[in-house]
Amino acid sequence: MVLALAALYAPLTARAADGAEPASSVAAAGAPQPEVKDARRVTVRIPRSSSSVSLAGRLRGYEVVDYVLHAEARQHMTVRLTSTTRPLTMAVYDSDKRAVCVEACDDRWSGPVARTGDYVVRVGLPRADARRNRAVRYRIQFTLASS
Amino acid sequence: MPDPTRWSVALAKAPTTGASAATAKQASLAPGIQASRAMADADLKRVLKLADVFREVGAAVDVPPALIAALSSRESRCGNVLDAKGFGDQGHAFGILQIDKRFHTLLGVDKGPGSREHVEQAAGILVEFRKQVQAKHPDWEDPFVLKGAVVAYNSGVSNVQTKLGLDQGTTGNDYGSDVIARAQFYSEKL
Repeated sequence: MVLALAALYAPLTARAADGAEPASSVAAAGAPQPEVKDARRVTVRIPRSSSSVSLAGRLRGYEVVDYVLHAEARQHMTVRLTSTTRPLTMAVYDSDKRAVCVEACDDRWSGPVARTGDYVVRVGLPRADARRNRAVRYRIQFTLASS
Repeated sequence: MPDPTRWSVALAKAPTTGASAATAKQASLAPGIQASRAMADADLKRVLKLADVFREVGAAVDVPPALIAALSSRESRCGNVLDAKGFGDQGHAFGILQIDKRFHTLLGVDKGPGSREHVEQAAGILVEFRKQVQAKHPDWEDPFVLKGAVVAYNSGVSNVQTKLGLDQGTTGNDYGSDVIARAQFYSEKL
C-alpha cells in the first residue's frame, strides 16, 4: 500500500525536492469574481466619526448579497460575519474583481487594501442549506483602519 | 519536505460511521459504512473512467485521489445525476464535484463535468478548506483535519467545530463520514 502510494505521489516528491509548495488552489486568490445577476447590492458607508459599521441582514435559499465598500490603498480592512443559527459562506473580491478569499475565509477576513477602489464582500448560505431554502439572520461588520 | 503519503495515511485512519439512515435510504440501504461502500461501488465504473484525472490532480495538490473520487460520488454520483450541461442542484452548481457558481467562476464548463479543469478547481477549494481547518484547529490530528476539510466542502469552515461532532449540521448529518467511507473504499481501487 505504502509503496503503491509512493509511486502515485512520485511527481509530488520530485517537486518537493525543489523546496516548492505543492500546487495551490486555482480557485482561491486571484480568480475572477463570478457574476450573479440577481445578487442584492448594498453600498456600505462607514460614518466619518467611526472606523466601522455593523449591518444586519437576512438571506434565504440561494440568495446572495454583495456588500460594496470603497477603500483606499494602504488602509486595513476587516470583515466579520456573525450568525447565531447556521453558518454562512463569505467571499471577498478586490477592486479588480479578483478573489481575495472565497468560502475558505470562514466568517472573518482581515487584510491590507492594495489598491483604491470598491471591494465586494459576497455573502450567501452554503449550498447544503440553500437547497433546503433555509433562512438565516446575520450581522456583518466592516472596519477600515489607517495602516 | 512534505510527506507524500501524509494525507493518504490520514484518510486511512480517519474515523467514520458511514452513511446515515437519510443518505442510505436514497439507495434503499441500511445505514453504516457498508452503505457508503455500496454507493461508492455503484459509481465505480464512472470513477475509474476518470481515474487518471483524479490521480494527476491529487498528486499536484497533495490530496488523495480516492478522496476526490469519493467527493464526486457523494456530490453527483460521479456525474450520474447531472443535467445535460453538467449542472446539478437546480442549476446552481457545476460538475461532478458541484462547484457553487455563486462564489466561483466555473472552470471547464466547455470541457465537461469531469474535465481536468473542473477537478483541479474543486481540489483547490478542498485544499483551501484543509488549510483553514488546520489554522482553526492547530491541535487536531491529520485524520480529523482531513475529515474537517471534507465537512467544510459541504457546509463551510464555520461548521467545523468539534472532532466528535463533525457530521452535525452537514447534509444528512453524515457528509464527512459518508465521504470518508467512500474514499476508503476507493483507496482500494484507485
